[in-house]
Amino acid sequence: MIFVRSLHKWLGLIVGLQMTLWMLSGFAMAAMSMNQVKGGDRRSDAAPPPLARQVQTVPAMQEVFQGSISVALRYGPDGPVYEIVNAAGATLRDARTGQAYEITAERALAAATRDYSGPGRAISAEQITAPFIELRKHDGPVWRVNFDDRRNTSLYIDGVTGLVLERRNDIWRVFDIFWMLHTMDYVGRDNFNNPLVIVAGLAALWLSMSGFILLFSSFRGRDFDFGSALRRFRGATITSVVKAPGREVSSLALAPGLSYFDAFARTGVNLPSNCGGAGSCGQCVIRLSPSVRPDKDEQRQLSAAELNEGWRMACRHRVRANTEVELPAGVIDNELLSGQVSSVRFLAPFTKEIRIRLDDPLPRPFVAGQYIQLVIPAGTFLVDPASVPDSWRGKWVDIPSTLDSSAAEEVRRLYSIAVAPNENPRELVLNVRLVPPAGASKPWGRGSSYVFSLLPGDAVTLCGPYGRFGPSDSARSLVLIGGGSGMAPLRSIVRHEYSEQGLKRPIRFFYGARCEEDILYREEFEQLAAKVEALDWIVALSDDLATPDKWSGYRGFVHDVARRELTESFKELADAEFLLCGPPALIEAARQMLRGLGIADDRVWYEDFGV
Amino acid sequence: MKPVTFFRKAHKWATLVIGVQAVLWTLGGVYMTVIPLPVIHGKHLMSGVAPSEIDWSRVDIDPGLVVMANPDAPLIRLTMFDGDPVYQVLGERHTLISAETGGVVSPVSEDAIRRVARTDFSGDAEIVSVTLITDNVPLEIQNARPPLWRVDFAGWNEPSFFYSAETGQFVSRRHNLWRGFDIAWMFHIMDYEDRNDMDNWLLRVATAVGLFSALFGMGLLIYRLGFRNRAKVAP
Repeated sequence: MIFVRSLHKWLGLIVGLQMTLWMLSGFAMAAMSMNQVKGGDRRSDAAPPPLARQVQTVPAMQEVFQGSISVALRYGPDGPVYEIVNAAGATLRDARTGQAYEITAERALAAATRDYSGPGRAISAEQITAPFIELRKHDGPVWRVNFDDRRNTSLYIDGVTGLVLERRNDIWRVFDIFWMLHTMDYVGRDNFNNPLVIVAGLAALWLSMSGFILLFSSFRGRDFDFGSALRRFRGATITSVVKAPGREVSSLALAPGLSYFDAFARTGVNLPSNCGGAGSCGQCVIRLSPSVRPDKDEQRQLSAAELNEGWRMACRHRVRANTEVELPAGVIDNELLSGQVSSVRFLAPFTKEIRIRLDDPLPRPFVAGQYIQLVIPAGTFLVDPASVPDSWRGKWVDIPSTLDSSAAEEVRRLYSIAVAPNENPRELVLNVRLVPPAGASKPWGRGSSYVFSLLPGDAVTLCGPYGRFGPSDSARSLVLIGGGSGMAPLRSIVRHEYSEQGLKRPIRFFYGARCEEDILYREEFEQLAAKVEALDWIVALSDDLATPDKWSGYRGFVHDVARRELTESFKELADAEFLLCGPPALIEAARQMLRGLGIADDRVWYEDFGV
Repeated sequence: MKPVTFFRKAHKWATLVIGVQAVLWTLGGVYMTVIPLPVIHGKHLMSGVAPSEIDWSRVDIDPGLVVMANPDAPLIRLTMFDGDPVYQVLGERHTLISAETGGVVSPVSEDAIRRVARTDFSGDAEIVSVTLITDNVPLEIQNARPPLWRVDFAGWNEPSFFYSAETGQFVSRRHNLWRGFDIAWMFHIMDYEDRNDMDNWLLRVATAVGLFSALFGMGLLIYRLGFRNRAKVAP
C-alpha cells in the first residue's frame, strides 16, 4: 500500500497537471451546449426551392457526364445544378443552361444566407484554401462567409460544390481550445492517437487506478462513524490532559470520534504535517499515556528510538478518554488573547464579577474548571469605592477613600472561569476578590486592584485556558468543597454538569462563607438546587458574630460541615471525586478531612492559587 | 484546518464520489488513444475498389423526368447500383428508380445487397448473415434511417456493413474495435442511454467533481513534496 501511495504521488507529479487539464476541459466541453458549438441552433430548416423540370437532358450533357461515377441534381446557391463526380472530384454545371457553375462570392453569400437563421447578416465572403485550423478536414478552395452576430459566426462554403461545410462561431472556437487541451494535439487538434496523449493517458490510467486502490486504505471506520459525528455536532467532548514543553499541563477538550491529528486541529493546534493526516509523512508525532501499539505506518515512519520512547503519529490514533497526550515543542503556543470588559458587578462586599467579551472566539474551548492568565499591565490603577452598592458601603469604611496600586513590571494573575464552556464561545466570566494588604505598609493586591479598577469597555489581555482542575468522566458522583471566590471553577463545573453537554451526575456542593453577604451566586444556586434533584447545595457560615439568629443553615467551617455530612453517607462516596477550591487554609483542612475519611488522593482535585 | 489537511480530506471525499468514474475515464481514454482512429472507422474493411462509372448507354430516363415524377425531392442522384444505372430519389421518401426503365427498384433485394457487400468488403470473410432491419434500429447505428440491410461477416472483430434498403446506399460499418470504442465513449461522456448526448447533467456534475478532485490533489501534492519540519523527539 505504501508503494501504491508513493506511485500515486509521483504519477501525480508527472501527469497531475494534465489530469487537471483533462478534467477542466472535460467539464468545459460538457458544460457547453453541443448544438450551439456546432451552430445547429442557428441553422435554417427551410426546405430548398423545388427542383426545376426544365433541365438539360442526358444527351445534351453527354460530353460533360462522360466518365462520371454519379450525377446529382439538386438546388445550388441560386438555381438547380448538376453535381458531377468522377475520379478527379466534383464539378458543378448549371442544370438549366449546362454551363459551368462557378461558386462566386455572391453565390457563397447566397448559400450561407439560406443556411443561416440567426439574428446576424452575412457581411463578407472571402476565398481561402483549406485546410486550416477552423476547417481542417477539408481540402481545396472555400469561401468563408462572416456574419455580424455576437458569436462571430462564419459559414464555410465549398468553393466547388457550394455546399455548407462547417458552421463556426466563437462558442466553437472556445470549445476547440478545450478540445485541443483534451486531445493534446496542439497542432492539428484532432489527432488523439498522438504519442504524447498515449503516454500521458497511460500514466493517468495508473494514477487513477492507484488512487482508486488507495481509497480503500484512506477511508477508515471513523470516517463513517456517524454516532460520533452526531456527538460532535451536539458539542460533546473528551477531556484530555495535554503536556507540552514550556506550558503547564492542562486539560483540553477534544472532539470525540476523530484522530488526535484532526481533533487537535479543531482546537487550533496544528501538528506539523505534509500529508494532512494520511499517515504517510510521519510528522504529527505525539506521545500517549497509557501508550498504544504502533501500527504499520508508524513503524515505517518513526525511528525505533522514537517508537521506544512512546512517540506515535497523531493521525493514526483516535481520541480516547483518560489519556494523557504529550506534544513536541513548538506545536502549542501561549498566544495572547484580547478582549473588552463587557460588564462589572459586585457579588459580595469585596468580590466582583467581571465579564470579558473576547475579540475572537477562544481557539481552544475551555474545559469546565479551567482558568486563564490575566495580564496585569505595569502602571498605576485607581480603585474608586464610589461604585460599592449602598448596602455594603459600611464594610468599606475602614478602607482608604482612594486605593491605588502601581508597579513598573507587567505581571500575570490566574483567574478561574466561572461559566460553563458551551454558554458563549466569546465570553469569559471571572470572580475576583479584592485582596487586602498583608501588612500595614504593604500594598493592596496587585491583580485584584487592577480588576477592581476595570470599567466596562476597558481592554484586557489574557492567555489560556489552562489547568486540569475538573472531574474525570469516570466519576459517578461529585463532591465540591469551596469557599470565597473559589466559587468560580466550581460554578463552571456545576453549570456544565447540568447543561446539555454535561453528564448530569449527582453533586454535593459544600460552600463556605463568613456571612450571608459573602455567599456568591446564592440565589442562582438555591434556584438550581430546587430544580435539579441531583444537586445538593450546602452552605456553611463561619463567622458566628456576623450570622444572625434567623440563619437556619449550617454554622462553622465548611470542611467540618462536609466531614459530618460525608461520614453519614459514606457508602455513596465509593465512585465519587472530590473537587476543592478556595483559600489555601480551606484546601489544606479539606484534604486532611478527606484523608481522614480514607479517600484516596487520586480522587481529590484541588485548585489553590491565592483565591 | 491547515491547507494540507483540507486538501487531503477534500481529495479523499471527492475521489470517493468520482473514483470509479475516473478509472473509467482514463481506461476509456487509453483505449481511444491507443487504437488509431482510421482503424476504429474501419477503413481497412473496405476493398477500395473504385465505384463503377455510369453506363450511359443504358440510361434512357432523363433527370427532368424523375423530377417531374417526384416534385418534392430536393435531391436526385444518378449512379450505378449492382451493375445497373439507377436514380436515388432522396425526398421525404427514399426510392430507387431504374434509369433504364423508370421502374421502381426499391426495396433492394437481399441478393443485390449480398453482391454489393461482397464487392465493398476487403478480404474474403464469408457473409454470416444478411438481415433486414425495419424498426428497432440497433444502438450502434441509431442515427441511420430504416429500413436497413445488415450484412454480418465472419471474423474475430465481427464486421457488419449497413446498407439502405430503400436506395442500396452504403450507410456505415461496425466492428468489435468500433464497438469497444463506443463503450469507451459511453463511459467518457456518461450518456449510458444513447451514448451520444454530451449535454447531460450527470456528465456536467461528474466533471465538476472530477475537476475539484484533481485541483485538491494538486494542492495536496504541493505539500507532499515538502520537507520534514517537525522537531526531533528522539535520538
